[in-house]
Amino acid sequence: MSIRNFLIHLFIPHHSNNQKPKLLHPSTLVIIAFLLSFLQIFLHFLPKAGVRVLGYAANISVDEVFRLTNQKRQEAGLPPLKLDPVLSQAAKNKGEDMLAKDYWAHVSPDGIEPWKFFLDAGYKYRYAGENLARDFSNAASAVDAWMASPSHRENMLSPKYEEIGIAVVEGDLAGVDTTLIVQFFGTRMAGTSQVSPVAKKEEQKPSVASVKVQEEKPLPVPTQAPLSEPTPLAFAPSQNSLVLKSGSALGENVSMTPPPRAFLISPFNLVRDLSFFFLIILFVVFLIDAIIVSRKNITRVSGRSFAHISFIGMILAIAFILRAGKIL
Amino acid sequence: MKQKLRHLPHYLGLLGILFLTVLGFWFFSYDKLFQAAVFVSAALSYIVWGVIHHKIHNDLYLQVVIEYVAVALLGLVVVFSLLFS
Repeated sequence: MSIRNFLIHLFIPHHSNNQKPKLLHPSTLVIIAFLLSFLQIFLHFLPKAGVRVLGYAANISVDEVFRLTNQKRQEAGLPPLKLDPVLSQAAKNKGEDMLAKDYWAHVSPDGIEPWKFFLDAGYKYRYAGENLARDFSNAASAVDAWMASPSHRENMLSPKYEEIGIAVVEGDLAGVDTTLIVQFFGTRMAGTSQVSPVAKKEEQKPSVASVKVQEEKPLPVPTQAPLSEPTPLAFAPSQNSLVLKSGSALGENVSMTPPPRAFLISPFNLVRDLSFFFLIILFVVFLIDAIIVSRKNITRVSGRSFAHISFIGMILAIAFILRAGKIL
Repeated sequence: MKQKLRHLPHYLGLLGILFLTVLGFWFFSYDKLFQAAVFVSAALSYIVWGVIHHKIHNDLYLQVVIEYVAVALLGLVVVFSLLFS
């Protein structure tokens, strides 16, 4: 079969393909689906095979996250939050802990809740909340994602909070170089100093009875004070990765040196580009097929081209809408 | 043409389902599990729409159903790969 005949067989209704482009045969569609699945599995196991994947080249600064957060609050008629170095240290510790223990959650695998980082850093809170993000390419995307989520938005726009700590930490999470963003919100207990030393944990660790939390926070994150009182914490894991370096200054972004075997690819972007490639080809071939079948008045047993084109158009729209990055 | 216009409500129903799915992805961008559920529902609705539509047209065959299932499966793989990659 010549190349020309092969292309006709693949893309044009013809007697060789039973008047339906081979590309549109169910068997071919299933093969494409399997190829994409294998790619996904391959990307998933790549880090486990010792090959590191460089996820997202994030360009996120603490200042930008802080500025955008206060901008959202001001737009909502709320007073701005103060950037607190103790809270920032606590957020940094949380980000480093996630990278060190390789987890993406509000509560660590060994059961440590976010509030412990507040207290360990010396921040005795009346109210506390946490937002997390990872894999966003810029601060605005992460803040927009938080604002789109009712529970994260509630943290960002809560009048109960007076201070905020932010950390942007980069490192290896599950074999993928990631950028994490941690937002800690808080209001100090009355009578505690505004800037407390970071390192005194033992004395400042409140006993269960000493922590008074007065509001309850709705979900999505279990908000809990280390004590049994209901706390207004809103704890949302975000998807931006934090790059925290030990010994870095508070509020500073720290980047890890890229590993020697790192690939400059983003799993999300790779899958999205390939999906766009296949979907656009299918969309065009379905369109050509519909036009030819209609003009030549070909009779065949087949689904409705308009329905298939509409469905693929919907997937294209969804692929366009979806963005890299997760919040928690 | 008249025949096609007679079935316009069928296609409007399908377009409505697909449009609502895109809207669901837009408004619930923070909840990937919900988005996944929305897409599964849309894919199933698409298959059911195809079966009902072809049944009404008296041209429902196994080959046609497989075609709708294959397109829906491809969509599921693409969207789930994007959601959870």
